[in-house]
Order: sequence, then structure tokens, then C-alpha cells
Amino acid sequence: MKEKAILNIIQKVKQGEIHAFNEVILLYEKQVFNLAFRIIKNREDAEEVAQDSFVKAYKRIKSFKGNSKFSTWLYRITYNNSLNKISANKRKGFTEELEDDKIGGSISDHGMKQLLDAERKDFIQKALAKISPQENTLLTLYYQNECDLKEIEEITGIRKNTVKVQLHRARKRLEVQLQQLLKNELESIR
Amino acid sequence: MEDQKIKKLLEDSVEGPSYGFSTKTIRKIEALEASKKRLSMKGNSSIVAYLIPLVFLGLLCASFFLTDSQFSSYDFAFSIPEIKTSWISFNIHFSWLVASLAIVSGFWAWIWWEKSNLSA
Repeated sequence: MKEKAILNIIQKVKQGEIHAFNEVILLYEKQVFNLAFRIIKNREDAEEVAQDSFVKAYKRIKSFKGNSKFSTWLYRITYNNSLNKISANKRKGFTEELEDDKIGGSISDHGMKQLLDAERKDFIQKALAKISPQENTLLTLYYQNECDLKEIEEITGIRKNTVKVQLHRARKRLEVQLQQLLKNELESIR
Repeated sequence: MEDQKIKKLLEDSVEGPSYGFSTKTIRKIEALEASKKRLSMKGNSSIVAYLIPLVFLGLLCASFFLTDSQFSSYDFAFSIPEIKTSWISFNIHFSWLVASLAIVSGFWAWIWWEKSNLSA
């Protein structure tokens, strides 16, 4: 959806139409949830953070002036919420992270293609789980949420040039992790 | 690794929130709005914000007419006027009147302040 159309919806929300905000949720729920999930690496917490991010965005909607893209503003809220959640979990001594054995394991008797898709998804998630939340954030924002370097700087507060370097490192690390996992997989079936 | 390949890889691993996420979220927002409406009685549209000070002012005026219909209390020559009616008799001090007015205006100011705080 074009930014202008989104701004029209935001205008409606500002005028008190709560249900117009449902369109915003439907538009961004996947991206917001994924960003939180990649940082926190826990499904329940990510869902809680995603929900909280939408509620916060709704509460602060009047402060959104449209100087940046709405998605950038929303992702910044999600990013900060996710970091807060990680800190809160650390304070509680709760460090349930996405572990290898927690990924997958729920492949039922669907078709072969679905099984392959699920395995592939599982495989990528294992590799992503092995790289840092920071690198995951950058990869998610750049490749999945299609943010440019300037927007990532706005969201994370990391300088554009640093983002570029870290993104390059994250790509390399993901590649190494995928190769390592593939090697282990091949060795296990030999 | 090429950018397009990574993009494809990440797209393949996209996770979505659980079913009914948007409904749950919008319900939470609705509940928030409902509680906000319950808590923030809008002063400028509320009868209570106007009625209470008016009732107090009415009571004060009524008490003047009943006890001091000549408004002798306002006569500075009588510092301690004696109010005598058929059913009440007591000394009224000028400061008593000032204090009564201060209470009413203070109460009014407080309601006004609450109103502006809630509607902000």
C-alpha cells in the first residue's frame, strides 16, 4: 500500500475512528511480529511485544507527524519494545531463547512439498537463531521489511555507515551458519 | 551471498502471529478507549462540573437571604453583626463570609483544574 493511503488511514484514526486502525494492524502485523520474533527469539514474548507495539502506536498516533514513513515509526516502537523485553527477561533471569530443538518438530502428514518447505524454513530459522539479535534486526529490517539504510538508522539509532558494515557481517555470518548446518546435516546422513 | 538469495531465504522463513492477532489487538485498544472514557469525564460537557459549584453558590446565596436579607454583613461598619431572624440568631463575622466565598471559588477552581487535566 502506498504511503499516501496509509497516511489517510492514520488521519482517520486521529479523528477517532478506532476501527481504521485495524487496517494498520492487518497491514503490518507480519512485519512487526517478525521483527520482534527475530530480536527476542521467543514466540509468545514476540506476540506480546507486537501487540504492545500496536497499542503504543495507537496511543501515540497524534505524535506521528508524518516526517518519516509510518512503517519506520512503527518499527522503531517495536524495536525499542523488543529491547525492553529482552532487558526485562534478563532481570527476571528468564532466558528462554529459540533453541534448535524448539524449532520445527510439528511437521504433520501434509504433502511432500509442504514437508520440504517446512524443513527449509526450519533450517533457515536454525541459522538465524545462531546469529545475534542485532544482526537479526538488521537483516529483517533490510531484507524482509524493505527498509533502506537511512530508515534503519532512524529505527535503531545506529549510524548509516555502521549499519552498512554490520549488515555485511550479518550476511557473512548467516552464510557461515547455513553452510555449517548443511555440513552437519550431510554428515548425519552419511 | 547475493542480496536476492538472502531476501528469498528470509521470506521463506517468515513467521506470522497467531490466528486472530489483529482482532485481539483491536479489542485491547477498544477496552483501553472504553476505560479512558469512563475515567475522563469531559469537564466542558459534564453537567456535574457546572452543577456542583452552582448548587454551592445557590446554598450560599440562600443562606444570605435567610440569615442576612439586609446584607448588613457587607456593611464594614458592623464588624461583628448580629443576625436575628424568627428562627435563628447568631453573630456573623465578615471573615466568615469571605471564607465561605473562598471555599466555593476554591471548589470551583479545583473542578476546573480537574477538567482541564482530564481533557488534555
